[in-house]
Amino acid sequence: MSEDGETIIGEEVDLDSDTRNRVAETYSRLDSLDHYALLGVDPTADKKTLRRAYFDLAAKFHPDRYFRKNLGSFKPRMEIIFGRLTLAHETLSDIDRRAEYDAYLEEQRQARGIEQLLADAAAEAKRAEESIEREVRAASVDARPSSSSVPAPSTPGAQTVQAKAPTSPLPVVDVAARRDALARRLLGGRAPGASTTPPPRSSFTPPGTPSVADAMGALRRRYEERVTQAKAAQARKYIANAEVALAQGDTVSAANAFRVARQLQPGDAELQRKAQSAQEKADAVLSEMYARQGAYEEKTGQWAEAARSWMRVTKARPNDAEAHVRAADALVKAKGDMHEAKRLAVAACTLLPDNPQYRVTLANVFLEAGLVLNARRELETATQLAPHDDTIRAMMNRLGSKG
Amino acid sequence: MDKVIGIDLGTTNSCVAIVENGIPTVIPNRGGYKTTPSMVAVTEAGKRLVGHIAKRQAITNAENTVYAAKRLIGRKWTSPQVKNAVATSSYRIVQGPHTDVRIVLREKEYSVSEISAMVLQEMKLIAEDYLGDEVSKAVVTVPAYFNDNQRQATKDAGEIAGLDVIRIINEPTSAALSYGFGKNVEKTIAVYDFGGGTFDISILEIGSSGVFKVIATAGDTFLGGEDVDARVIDWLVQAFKEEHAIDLRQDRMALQRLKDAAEKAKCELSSVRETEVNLPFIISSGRNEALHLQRTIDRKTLEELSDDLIERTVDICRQTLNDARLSKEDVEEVILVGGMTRMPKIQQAVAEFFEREPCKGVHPDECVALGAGIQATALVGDKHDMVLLDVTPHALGIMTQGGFFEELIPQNTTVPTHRTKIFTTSRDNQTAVKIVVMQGESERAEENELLGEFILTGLRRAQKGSVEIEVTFEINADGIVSVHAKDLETGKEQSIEVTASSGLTRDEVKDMMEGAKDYMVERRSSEEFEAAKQEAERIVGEIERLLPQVEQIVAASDFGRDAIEKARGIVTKARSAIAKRDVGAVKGEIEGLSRTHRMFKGVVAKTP
Repeated sequence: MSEDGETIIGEEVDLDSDTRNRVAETYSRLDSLDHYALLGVDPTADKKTLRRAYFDLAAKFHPDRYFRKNLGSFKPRMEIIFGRLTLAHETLSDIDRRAEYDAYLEEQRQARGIEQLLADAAAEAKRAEESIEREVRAASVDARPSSSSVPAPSTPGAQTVQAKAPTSPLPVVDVAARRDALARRLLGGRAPGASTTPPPRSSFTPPGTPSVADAMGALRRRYEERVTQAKAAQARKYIANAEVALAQGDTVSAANAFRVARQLQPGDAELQRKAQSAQEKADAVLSEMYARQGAYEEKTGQWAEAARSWMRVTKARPNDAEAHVRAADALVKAKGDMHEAKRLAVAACTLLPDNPQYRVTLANVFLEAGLVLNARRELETATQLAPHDDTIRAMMNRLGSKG
Repeated sequence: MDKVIGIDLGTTNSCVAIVENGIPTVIPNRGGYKTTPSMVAVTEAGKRLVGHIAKRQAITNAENTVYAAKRLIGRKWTSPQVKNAVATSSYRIVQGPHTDVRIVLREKEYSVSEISAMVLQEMKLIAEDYLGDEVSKAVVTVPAYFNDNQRQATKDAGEIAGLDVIRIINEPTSAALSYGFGKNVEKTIAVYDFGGGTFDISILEIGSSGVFKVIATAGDTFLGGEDVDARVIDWLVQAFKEEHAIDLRQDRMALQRLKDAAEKAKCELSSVRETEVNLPFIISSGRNEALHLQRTIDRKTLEELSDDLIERTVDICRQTLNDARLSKEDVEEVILVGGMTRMPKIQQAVAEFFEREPCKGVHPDECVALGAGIQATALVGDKHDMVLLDVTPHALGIMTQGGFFEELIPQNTTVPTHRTKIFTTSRDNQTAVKIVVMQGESERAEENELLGEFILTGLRRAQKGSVEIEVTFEINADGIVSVHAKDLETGKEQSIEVTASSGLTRDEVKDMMEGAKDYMVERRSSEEFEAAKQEAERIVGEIERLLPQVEQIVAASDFGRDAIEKARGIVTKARSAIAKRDVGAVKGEIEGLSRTHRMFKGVVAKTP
């Protein structure tokens, strides 16, 4: 009998290894699963399906299944899993709460997709550039930059941004075949010895001979010219695509395409301006999404997430006082970075100096950071702005004789 | 395997059930009845009577006969319900030492838990007689709307009766278990439970995987058949007063006879249209002539008298559906539980409200006990084919500055659950906070039920509002509430398991347990066992007295910890042997106990 003084070592529990693994595994994945994934149902699942899924899982994870068994640390884990299952079921089986949650998930997915697109755009521009240079170098003396030899710009999505849609991959170019063709032309129609023959390189030419140096210079000039031409052609394509996207209202794709084009044509001021404008529009779309996410997160008490969402909004909307103050407020509630919270609250107060509520938020930030004097100063300003506000007066009273 | 019974501890009647060979069965008492009156009496000779035998002598021994003790259990002396009971009961109710309630029978004060324990003990005996075996574990039901204090007091009653109450479950939920047992259905049902003392309504979902989930529950713990009886009594008393200018309430015996007659008339009117209340020689007039009470009451009169009470239950049903965010059409079945639902007017009102004929398949008096038996078996049995997901009937929270109630766990939250909120100090240089745990729906703390309190000390001296305390409420599957408070700055923690204040301290419950055990002993025990038990308990007491000292001395060494662990094991074994009343086992443990005791004495003696 274990009561006889046998010490219980580590996690010796009355659970078979399957159950133990299932509990441990589910517990470790809790944070990364959304409500649907947790219940193992389709996003279109109806109430009955949800209930069935919830009941099946509840029957598996409810601690009553192992009544008065020794469950050790598995009991609290099962209780937490059960709590999450219940939250998922309750959220999804209520029409309003589910609609809200779905909208939130969708926003989150879209925003992530857009972030990904924007990140990919930079990479695509770089790839496009490299690819052109590689092509031209391989072709070396090819006079006509073939339009098919460079990557096609990503086509702007006709409708809304697809959540996980990455930028279109670079087309596969049959480099070896084209190189053979070029070599044949260069060698006066003779077939190359082997397809693996490397393209002629400058180091193969013996140095010192003026004619050779001239020829080399000419070659380099032609090469660079070709690169520039190819890039310009490519940029035009991206710009054309961007204009189409813009006309269709797909600001994110437009911004992406302009961005690639700008990379290919860094000197073009007009292009710069257009790219900038498209980027601003895309940011506006994105910040709109983050604002909605932030509002939902505030409602469900996910303060750290709300702070992150609102801070993203402020990046795109440097003049939006409300976004700044909400970010600051969420940071206070999430016990986040108070320096950042202060910066945001100060920005809000600078943007709208006459708003007493913003002062209160700033005061809260100061209080959170233990700076009572500063908090008092802000509250005094707030009192001047709103002399009859009970909440502010109550806060002042609470600060009392301090400082 | 130990048999675990299910007990429906009712206001007027109690019932016990068990699952035998997979079939839930109600166990009849020795008289062959499936329910037993929840009445307790003490005779002039000091003899204790429980059940039918107590009911039969109630009229002649009104002052020493307790009925409807359940209406008082876990309540404070100061509550209006207790005040009301004091005014209308034929037995004497007095204030206990912790503003709790005591009942006086033959000059002796009993706590309400003790009275309920006598009923539980009777139910335990009924089961033991039937099974021919000891029963030590039970699932006991309570009204869904009972608060934690009332639940704890009921648990205490079980403990006093020598029962390990493995779970307290709600009566309507229990009825639903009995309805859904073995049916393999998927349904949303409503349970309308109008009993002797309480009214409850619960909405549940039953799933095919054997899951019963409560969606919402509500009720009134002071609305029951007894209130209908009181209306009839009033009606009779009033008429008598008009005729003879005498208030029958002045006479306890007359009042008890009226009570009996009113209940009887009410029950009869469920099947006949009119009945006669006939109480000869009910009282003497001022001129010393015997007066009789004779009156006809018809169904319509009864319905008029109880109309507003029925309306109140319908209002609660409406509110509960709202809370569950369901409409009437979502409810696929309505189950009627409790004696009052035999009243045609009530059946009609329920059918009208839910727009559906109530289910006839469950027995209103027996289904609660059957459900308790089913849950008992599901918990301890090998087949885990049923899981009950219940909710908290009341919100839980703490008291904050200014006497406000801050809710942490809302009403109708599925358990197990946990919630956290952050609070701050309310005064400058405050180094301690008192966490007052409460239950209820009011914003004003004082209007809610106090469950317990504890103090978190050692906070940093600072301005008010700048020290943060994280408070976490947790309800586990057993329904036990624990509250943790943590100083976020220092990480210092303090927590309690809220055992709720049933009005009794732990020690008092223990003392009462002893008292009840003595009572059990009177009924069936051998001298041999008594002697062994006393000896074992004496040594256990000695060991426990020395334990803290020994622990301090030897805790540093592995050997010491082992020894203490072993000693605890021996004590536990001895206790369980005593609980099982196993003479041989108790005697067997005495040797080990003595050895431990000697060793402990040695350790303490060797240390200066």
